[in-house]
Amino acid sequence: MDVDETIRTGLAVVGVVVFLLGAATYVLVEPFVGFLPSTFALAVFAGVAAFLLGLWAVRSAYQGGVEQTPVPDVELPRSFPAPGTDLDRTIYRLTHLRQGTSEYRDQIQERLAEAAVAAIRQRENCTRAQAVHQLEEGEWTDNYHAAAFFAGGSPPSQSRLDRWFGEAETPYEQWVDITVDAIAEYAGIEGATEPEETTVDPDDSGLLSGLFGGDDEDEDEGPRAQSGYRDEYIDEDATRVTDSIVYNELVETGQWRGVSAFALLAVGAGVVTATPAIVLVAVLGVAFSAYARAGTPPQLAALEVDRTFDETNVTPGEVVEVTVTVENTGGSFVPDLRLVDRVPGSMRVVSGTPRLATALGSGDTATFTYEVVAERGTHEWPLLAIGRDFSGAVEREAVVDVEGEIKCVPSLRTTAEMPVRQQTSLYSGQENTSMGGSGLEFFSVREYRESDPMNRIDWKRQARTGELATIDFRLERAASLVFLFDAREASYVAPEPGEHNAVDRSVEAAVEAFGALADQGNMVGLAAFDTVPCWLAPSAGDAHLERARQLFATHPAMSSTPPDESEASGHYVDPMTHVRSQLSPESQLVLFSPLTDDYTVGVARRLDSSGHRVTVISPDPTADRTVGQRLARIERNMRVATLRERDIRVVDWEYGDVLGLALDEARQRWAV
Amino acid sequence: MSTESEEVTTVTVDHSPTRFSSIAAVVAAVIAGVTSAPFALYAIPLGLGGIAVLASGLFMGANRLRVTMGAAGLFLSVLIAGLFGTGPEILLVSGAATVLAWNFGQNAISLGEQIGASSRTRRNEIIHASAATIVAMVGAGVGYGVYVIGSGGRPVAAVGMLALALVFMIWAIRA
Repeated sequence: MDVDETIRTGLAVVGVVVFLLGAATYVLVEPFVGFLPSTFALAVFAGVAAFLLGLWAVRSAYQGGVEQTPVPDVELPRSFPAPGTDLDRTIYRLTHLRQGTSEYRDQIQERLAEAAVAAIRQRENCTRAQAVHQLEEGEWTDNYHAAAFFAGGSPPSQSRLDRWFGEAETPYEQWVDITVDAIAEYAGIEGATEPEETTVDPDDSGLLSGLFGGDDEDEDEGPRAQSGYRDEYIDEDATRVTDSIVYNELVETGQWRGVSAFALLAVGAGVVTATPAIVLVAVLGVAFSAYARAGTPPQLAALEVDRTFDETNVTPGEVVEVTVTVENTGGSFVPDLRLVDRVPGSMRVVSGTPRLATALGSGDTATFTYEVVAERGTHEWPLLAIGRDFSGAVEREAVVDVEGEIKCVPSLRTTAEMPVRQQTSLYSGQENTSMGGSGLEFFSVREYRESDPMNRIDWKRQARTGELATIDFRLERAASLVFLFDAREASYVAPEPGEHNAVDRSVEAAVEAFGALADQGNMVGLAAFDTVPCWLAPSAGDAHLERARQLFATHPAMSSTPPDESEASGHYVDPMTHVRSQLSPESQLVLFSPLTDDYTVGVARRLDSSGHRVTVISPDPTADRTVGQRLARIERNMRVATLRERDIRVVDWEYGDVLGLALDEARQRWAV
Repeated sequence: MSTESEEVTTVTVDHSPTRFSSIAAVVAAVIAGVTSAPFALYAIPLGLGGIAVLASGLFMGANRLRVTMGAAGLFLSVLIAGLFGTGPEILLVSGAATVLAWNFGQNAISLGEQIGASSRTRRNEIIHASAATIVAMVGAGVGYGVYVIGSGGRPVAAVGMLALALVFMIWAIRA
């Protein structure tokens, strides 16, 4: 940069000297013409030099391109991947990028084998060793290729016709595909074997951009919120100019790059062809070059931003109108100001736009209004202000922290009636137990024991036989439940981009069930793992309900966006130590988890074996668009089956369904 | 729960170039093409082609390269018109319109990417466009003034020196 500056200054000085010399010659001809070369050679040399430099400038302009601050699509909700994306990624790396061939192959084979073994054990009801044997022998399926996958065969050969007609998949991909479909068929999972859906271009599903983390190949095709969503709006080398405003590094847009080529080429062409009018056109190029060079970075530190909401305390799903007013309180004119409100990732804009491009003089204000759908949580977000100078050659991005937050707390509903298992506390309530005592429903008649209350003595029998007997009624007790949320990174998944993630769905379900359970006199507590410890002991009462409501809305462990990497590391909370140490022995657990990996299965099993009844409510986040997603669906079904074998109740909740329906279905199954 | 929110659909985000600047760019391109055409038939295909390519880069999918190629075509048509003896006044108008068309097009794409065509951008665009137009007018005016005053039989040495100075200066301030 410095060298460039020096060269520029040097050239400018030389230019001025030559210009003075020429101008002097122009006005006072006599003394100069004598010693200056008076041939056309000099002029032609200048022309040719100009032309060549012009070509050089074209080249550098072409290479330089135009840069500007990328702005994400803040209007759209943040998208979460569907489970199984990791396998798709591995396959993509293997087949398209040709990385780590053998280890990736091993990984893929291992995962498929794991799923197949689970399916075989499930269906044949055999030991693991037998299942592995079956798999290795290829006895489990009629499909030759699928059997060969685990028996060390080779991928199916592709007919030449397929290759010519643009079959996008490599033989290996097809092989994996066939095998996954065979396992799905074997495990009896419907909807996973549509041959139409086997060709999936990874670029379509945003896989490519996900692969590269959106660093370089982040082309602006399609919605940007999907891949280029920046969690951090502040660069590493940003400077904080005021309490609320942070400047990111200046961007030279290069929008005028190439205008000097225009000037140089015009000079060259004009001088070489001796056409003064063309040389004159170069003046424009010079003027615009100077215009671009003269730009000073705009001052954004004096922007005063005010954001108001038509309502600040809302419930999820409500539409909130947001009005943003920006005032330039500084003394300088901002000729080009682009404002983008950083709507939080969980919310989506439903009318208006959170963007505005304007120019603000000193004391001017600009206002824009839009409407968002409020989502659970406390939200406060910054505004991006991108300022440019008149010419647009320099661009500065400022992140302005705006005060004013919106609080969105779900109301606890009584819509979903959650079946409670036979494990109750010592407090009286409405859950039937298998014990006799005082209550409403007849339970048994037993021999009279001393100190039995008089009103429960069966007087009719006494009159008939003369024996004293006591009627026992079914004892009704309150259950003590703890809602345990699986809020690990792996749970932030959704079947379709833009849908609520599984953690959100879990909390929605919990909110629906909480009220009904509390109404029945049960005591409900909350807990989550594994990033931030979260614990609310089971209790009852209005104050407790309110505490739970606030917790649902604001606790970081249940937030609708996954925890940051830095936050998560070193804060690992083992649900065993954290939850179990506080869990009273008679508590039963309701575990909310999408069951995307075996970890949660382990948690459920360990809690179960330590004497707590466990009900798993599992929103199903799996999709079937890609091989990986189909495999993830198989794996999840196997997990559900494993849990059910263990006598752990699982409510397999379809993503689009109403929770109440899923619970009714589950209740019917359990009743049998 | 999302029962109520299902009814309200998320807005679509339109990242196409903003309208005002796009139209301004095409208008400027047409001016450049028309003014460079009448005195040189050879310039016509380049000029028309330039307009078409530039317009396609704005209205048929945003594409910076096509906008630049279109402007380059217009520029060549201006050079050809100059070679065939078009007067300096018309040539200046034509050249200025070429640069402006290029810049308006760039600005339309840039605004489209950052802000989008469905948001309010008018004030920003008008100020950007007028500032650039003023610069073009002032530059052309000063250049033309010098040209008119300074024309006449002057020594080759002086012209050569001035041309060389111009080259040095441009390279020193190149954007």
